[in-house]
Amino acid sequence: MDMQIKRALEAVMTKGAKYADIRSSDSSNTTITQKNGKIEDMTTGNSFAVGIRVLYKGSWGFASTNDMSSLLGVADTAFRIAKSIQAANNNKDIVLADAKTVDMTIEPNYKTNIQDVSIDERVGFIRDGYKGATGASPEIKSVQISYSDSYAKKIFANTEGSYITSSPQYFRYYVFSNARRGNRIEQSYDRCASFSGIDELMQKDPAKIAVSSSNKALMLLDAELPPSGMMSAILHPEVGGVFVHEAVGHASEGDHAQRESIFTSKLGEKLGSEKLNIVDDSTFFGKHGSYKYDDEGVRSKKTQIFKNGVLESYLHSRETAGFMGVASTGNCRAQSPEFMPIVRMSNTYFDKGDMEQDEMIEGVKKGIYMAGFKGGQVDTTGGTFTFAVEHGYLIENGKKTKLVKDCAMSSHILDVLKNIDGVGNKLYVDSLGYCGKDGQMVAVCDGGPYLRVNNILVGGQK
Amino acid sequence: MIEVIEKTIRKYKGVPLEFFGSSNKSMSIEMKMDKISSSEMSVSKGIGVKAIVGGRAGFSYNSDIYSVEDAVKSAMINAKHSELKQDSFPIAQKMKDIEGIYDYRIRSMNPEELVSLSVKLRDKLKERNNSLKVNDSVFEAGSSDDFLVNSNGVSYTSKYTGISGMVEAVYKNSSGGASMGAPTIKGFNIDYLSEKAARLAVSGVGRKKIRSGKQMVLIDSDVLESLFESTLYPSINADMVQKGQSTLKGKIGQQIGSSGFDIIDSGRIESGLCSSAFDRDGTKSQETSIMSSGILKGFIYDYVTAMCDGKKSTGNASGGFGSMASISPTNVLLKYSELMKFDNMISGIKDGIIIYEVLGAHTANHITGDFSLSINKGFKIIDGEVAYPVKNAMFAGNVFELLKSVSCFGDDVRQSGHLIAPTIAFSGQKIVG
Repeated sequence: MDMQIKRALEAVMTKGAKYADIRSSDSSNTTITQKNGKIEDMTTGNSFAVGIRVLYKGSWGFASTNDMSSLLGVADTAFRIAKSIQAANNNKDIVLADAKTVDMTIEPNYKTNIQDVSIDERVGFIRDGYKGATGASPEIKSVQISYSDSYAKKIFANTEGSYITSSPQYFRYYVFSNARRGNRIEQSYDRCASFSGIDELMQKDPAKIAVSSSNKALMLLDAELPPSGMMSAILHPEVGGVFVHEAVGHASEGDHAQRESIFTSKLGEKLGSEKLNIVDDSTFFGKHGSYKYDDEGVRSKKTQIFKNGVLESYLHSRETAGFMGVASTGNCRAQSPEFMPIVRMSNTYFDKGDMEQDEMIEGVKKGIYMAGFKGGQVDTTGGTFTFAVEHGYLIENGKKTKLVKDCAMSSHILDVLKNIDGVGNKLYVDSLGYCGKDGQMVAVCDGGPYLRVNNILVGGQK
Repeated sequence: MIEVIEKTIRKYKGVPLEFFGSSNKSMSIEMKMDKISSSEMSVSKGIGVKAIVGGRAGFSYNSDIYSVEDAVKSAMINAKHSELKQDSFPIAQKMKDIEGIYDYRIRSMNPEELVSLSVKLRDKLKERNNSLKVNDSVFEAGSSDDFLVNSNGVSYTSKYTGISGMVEAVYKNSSGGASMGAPTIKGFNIDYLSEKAARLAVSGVGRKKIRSGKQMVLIDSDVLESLFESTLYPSINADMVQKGQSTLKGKIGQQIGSSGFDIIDSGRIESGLCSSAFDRDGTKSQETSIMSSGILKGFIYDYVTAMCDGKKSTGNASGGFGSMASISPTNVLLKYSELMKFDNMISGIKDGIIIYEVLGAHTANHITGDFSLSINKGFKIIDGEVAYPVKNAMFAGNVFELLKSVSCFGDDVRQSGHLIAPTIAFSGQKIVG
């Protein structure tokens, strides 16, 4: 395969391309889904994809296929479309930030090879989970468990001489529990996932993950709908992580900043309180958003986005870094070889401060404690963002009181950065998230300490 | 290819088999800050095989379509671990094509044509207001050739095309977005994109805070589609109903919506974005009443869930070659006894809000229907006039309560994703400011 890749790269350079890279992935995948105790989906499959990205002066062309034998033709297509865009637009030359040439094989860091785990053992993870989930209470009426894994051979090669191969293995294990009391149904979930092989699932008891899922669903049966209005919020680290991801992470992505983002042209400005310290770190060992090299062959690194309230750096690809005359931060990622890589976060977290959790709650007269991530979204141009949580507690006169569920809050990025007044003294960076952008999903991790945010709008239904 | 499959079916006589193959071609053009920045082309194909062994179904797929026999063997092994009960596959029916879902011009389109569409949109925005800029726009065109063959004699082929565009225009510190898709070039309207994006961007300047309170809320069909995706659609899915994960379970025949309000799922709408002659199981597509004058009439089924309930499939099996079929709505048509001219709808409102864009629709509770959305693009309506854009406000409620609160339908019917609907006014909704 490497000869075909080299030939395709040489072919586009001979035609006049400035740069090109190729990514391929050949994977074997298994999905097992159990619904209410029955295995209803037992699927295995193989998929191959290869994509080539070609830079011609100021324009990119990209083409992909799942037929390796057509790579030369596909490379030609990518070159032709880059050239035709350039002819029509006369775009200013794109300057790619320098990247070290890398020729290496990334050794896998798992102990147990997924291929050595039998289908019966994998089904066993599900059966154990089902026993745990349903055993939690007779009010657990419905349980869905899904397990999927994949092992792949991946190649990255570019016209600067880099050639990186890797053979990652991942698994995902999700338990969804539905609790019912009378007409009321509540759902919750718990999960386990890793890009470093299946060892973590084997060490963690699948039954315990399932019990935790059911207990959360049962708890929600007693929760009320939240109130609404402006108030203070204490964010659990997982929620605080999503808050950081939505409110700061996306707007600091170089492709957004290069266009019209709320952070455009604000490098070096003090936009938040002294307590605002935000980091993106793809080198963080074993986390959901970690990697060695990004999808344009740049070594992963730790980037300080905010330091003491000052916007220190954007997250970059080689293109956005080249545009701004800095080095790439190694944040260019793609969902698969069928997509062009774009600027993405990795493991993004709020750095720890000095407050105890109790101290934070004690200082709140009327507010809300939020936990259990559901999702978030941001408009990086306008600056509005939102995120929603599964459950929380009202805080009244410094104490957690009533349990509430389905809370969402909204604010404006530049307002909220000034309103963070409490930062916990313990750091948790453990989430297993997926982030969607431009139709591509990539694995990320968000986290931080407990956070206290003032003047945030809670959109309760009550 | 079909010959190879038929040969395989003969070889494995006695094992019920189903083969779904798909070959897709797509391309896209992206514009950033008024300049075309990149273009992508993708070609992909693959085959998925379902095998029934001992009354249980297993599945396997391969992106190499010539690995048919390997996929059959894997699907048969998987069937032995599976507990999905299935005895057979649908039998062959006479199919009738649906007009307006295939356009040879899209299939043979080259990137230059998409570039010119993208440039045309930019120019149209500038014509409307020279200060408008394209922050980001993406145009996509694609085609798909599918086949479905099973050991019950089904052997269908179909061709689909589609073209879509989305744009985010910026004006001063305000942005306005619009998106649309169509199966044919004829149905694709670039003026709609430029008009809406320009209007929302320009009129979005000068946002004001609003007070909390119950009021009339007008919802654009893009917003309603995103909300239904995470609430109503899962609730009418027979698989969710059978597993006890739908609040609509056991409510057939009950009043769940406003009187005069109908919801219809139809895979047979001419030029419909989600129309097809047959579904992923090989069942002929049809029109299914979900709600009639507010009364819940039925759910959407695929072949397996229909068998389980002793019913006939409604032709709602969906999916590609890489997974087993799952249930999905086709075109979802909302109808109301009366349509009102859009302008009259606005002029009749004393105190309300019109919402064009929300953030967080995917976080709505898909079982209870509770939602809390951030209003990213909304305008206050006072005394029959669109008064000003709103700042930092939220819309909180419940989808099933929303169905019961229809006040009137506008006449601006269009398709957004699955949904074919106009702007709809819902009374007594909670806005948090």
